[in-house]
Parts: sequence; C-alpha cells; structure tokens
Amino acid sequence: MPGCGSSAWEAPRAICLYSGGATQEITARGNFCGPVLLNNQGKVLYFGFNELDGNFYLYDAGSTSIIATGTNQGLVNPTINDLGQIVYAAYDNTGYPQVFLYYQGFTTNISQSLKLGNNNYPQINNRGQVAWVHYDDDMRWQIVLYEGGKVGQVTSGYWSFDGWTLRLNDRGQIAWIGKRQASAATGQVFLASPVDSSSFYLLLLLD
Amino acid sequence: MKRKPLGCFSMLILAFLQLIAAFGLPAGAEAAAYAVRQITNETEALSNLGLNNLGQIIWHRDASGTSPEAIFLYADGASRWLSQTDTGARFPVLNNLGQAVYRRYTFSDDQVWLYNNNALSLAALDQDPTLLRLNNTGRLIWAGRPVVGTPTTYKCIVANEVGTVKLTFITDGNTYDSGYLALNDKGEIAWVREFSLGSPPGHLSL
Repeated sequence: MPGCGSSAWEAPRAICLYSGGATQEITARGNFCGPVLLNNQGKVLYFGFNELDGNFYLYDAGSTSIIATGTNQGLVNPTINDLGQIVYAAYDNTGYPQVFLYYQGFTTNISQSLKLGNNNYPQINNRGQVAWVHYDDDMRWQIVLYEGGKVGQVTSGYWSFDGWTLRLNDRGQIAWIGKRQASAATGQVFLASPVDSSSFYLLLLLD
Repeated sequence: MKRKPLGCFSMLILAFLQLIAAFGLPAGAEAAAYAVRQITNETEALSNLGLNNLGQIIWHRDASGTSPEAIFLYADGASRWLSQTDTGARFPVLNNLGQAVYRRYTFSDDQVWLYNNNALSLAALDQDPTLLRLNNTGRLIWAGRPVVGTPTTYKCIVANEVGTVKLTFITDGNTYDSGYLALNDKGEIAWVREFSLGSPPGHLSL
C-alpha cells in the first residue's frame, strides 16, 4: 500500500500527543502523513494508511476509530470543532468533490446537489456551521454556508478566491482573500458578517 | 425592549422580498443573510489570512518597491500595519484574545514577534522558527532551533507563554514534526514524529 512511511526508503512515523506534561505515541510507527488536528476536548484527527487504504482516524481518550476511508475518494482538508464534528472534502460517486460532515458515527454529504471544484477547504466552527466554496449554476465560484441542514449562498456575482483561504469564526463571520472583478490584478481581504433578515433584504434592494 | 409584531402588510412585503432573494440561486442553495465588506485595497499579493472570534483579521502582504513585506491587523473597523518597524515579517497567527505572533527574518537570526495589548515585543530568537501556533490562553509553540549551533536538520517543538521568556522543550532534536503541529487551548500538542533522522544533539530544557 503506497503512503508515507510505508517502504524501506521512507521513514516510519507516529502521531505524538503531549498532554499533562508527558508525551506519548498514540499510534504504532507506520504510515502517517498528516495532517494532524487537535480540538479543545483533546480529540486528535489525523490521516494515515493501514494495510487496506488511506483513512482519517480519530483518537479520543485512548481509543481510535476510522471516520473516513478511501484513498481514491480523495480525502482532503479535514477540520474538527470542539463538539467533535468533522468536515472534509472527498469525491462522491459521480466524481465531484463534495463536503462531508462526520458526527458521532454518522457521515452526511452536506453539499449534496451542489457542484464543487478542486481544492476545497471546508471550515467548521463551534456552532456546527460549515463554509466552503462551490460553483453555482453559472459556473461562478461562490461561498456557501451550511447550518441546520440547509445550505445558504453567502456571495453572488463574480468571485475568485486566492488560495481558497476561507476563515469562519464562531460568530458565523467569514473572511477570505479574493477578487470581485475578473479584471482585478490583486486579491483583497473581504469579511462577510451575518445580518438579521430585515436588514439583509434591505441590503439586497439597495445593492 | 419588546419588538412590535409584524403586521399583515409587512409580512406580505417580507415574503415578497424573500421570493426576490431566492430567485436566481443555484438548485439546493438559499440566500444567506450576509453583508460583505472589502477590508483592503492593496496592489501586492496577500496571504496567511487569520480571523478570530472578535471579528479581527490578520494577513501578510508581499513586499513592494521600498515597502517591505508586512503584517496587517484589522480591528475595530480599521486596518493597522502591525510590523511597521520590521522587515521580512511573515506567517502571522491571531488568537481570540486579539494577540498575534509572526516571524521576522533578519540577516543575523530569525525572530518571533508578539503583538499584545497594542504593543509589539520580541517573543523569541530562533535560527529557523516555523509552524507558529498561538492558543486562546496565550501559549505559543513552534518548531525551531533556539539553541545556537543546532544542526539545520534537527528541530524541536518549543513552548513559550506570552509575556515570559521561559522556553520549554516539548521534544528533543530527533522528533522533527514533519510539517504538522497542532495546539489546543488546554496546552496539549499533537504532531507527526519521524524516526529516520538519527541522533540529535540533546537539549531537553534550558
């Protein structure tokens, strides 16, 4: 099985956790490439290979479980919040990259029916909101936000995004570097803040 | 203050406006109630974006002409040039307290600078500080070689508390983190350890 640390010329690796003043290896020495994420509950999310495939693993208080598997599914860009919810990008059965949400043993494709491009970095906050970039029906990139089972579109019109660097905070604000016009030479920093619905529709009218 | 309930006419107007808002959106998506604000108007490339729960934003701007590469912070509706007196500032990190750290390259050494309570201070000297991490209690860690003479292939994970100069070595030199390093608000740290680098110069503490 290909993967980092899996052959004689690749160094074996292990995931280490420093806690309470001591360091322990929480995995056997093998094929662990990263990324490694750690939430405020001490849960460790990491990527590695076993004898069958590439997987996302979740270490929690001494036990480890596989939360997603499939190298060919292109598992990439996971994030974890303090509730233990995990989002990541992977291909669905039709070959489109999608955004998946894992929580307490169940996985949901939360970007169902929306097209995605490559290089998606979904972000989850501690309210369970998820933001990412996708193509709209006019093949334009847009930021969308998942909350409570629904996906809402945050941007409209022309956008391009530098480095796909979305950031989402616990207030639901989203920041990114991007261009609002195709002719713009340089990406700028933008901040999207939630507004109450009455203000929002007024903004739509005035826009 | 108690809000006056919407009247029938207002509700009809609101429903109409909702219909307008939803029109033209892709299948499966609804309009979200967001206002978008442009923060910068730069001519140079921007990168290393950070956003905290206060709504503050930090980023890196490439060098331009005589203007050095720089770190900017957006807070309270205005942007400020955090690294104004420095050159070679890169890799900013921002926490939910409004504290920020970044790396500064110099000809003689590399430095980790701290922005805290509207003031800049030198947090650490290091030959090659990378992977700066700053949690929401003010704990700062990085992978680096703060002991002069440490071979370039050996790095430690080093911890420092904001406002102190005490360094704690989490790892010795043979536990280079392979590019991944995570820190939470309890001070716990996770990383990938690689085992092929041989015997390092030992330095477990200062």
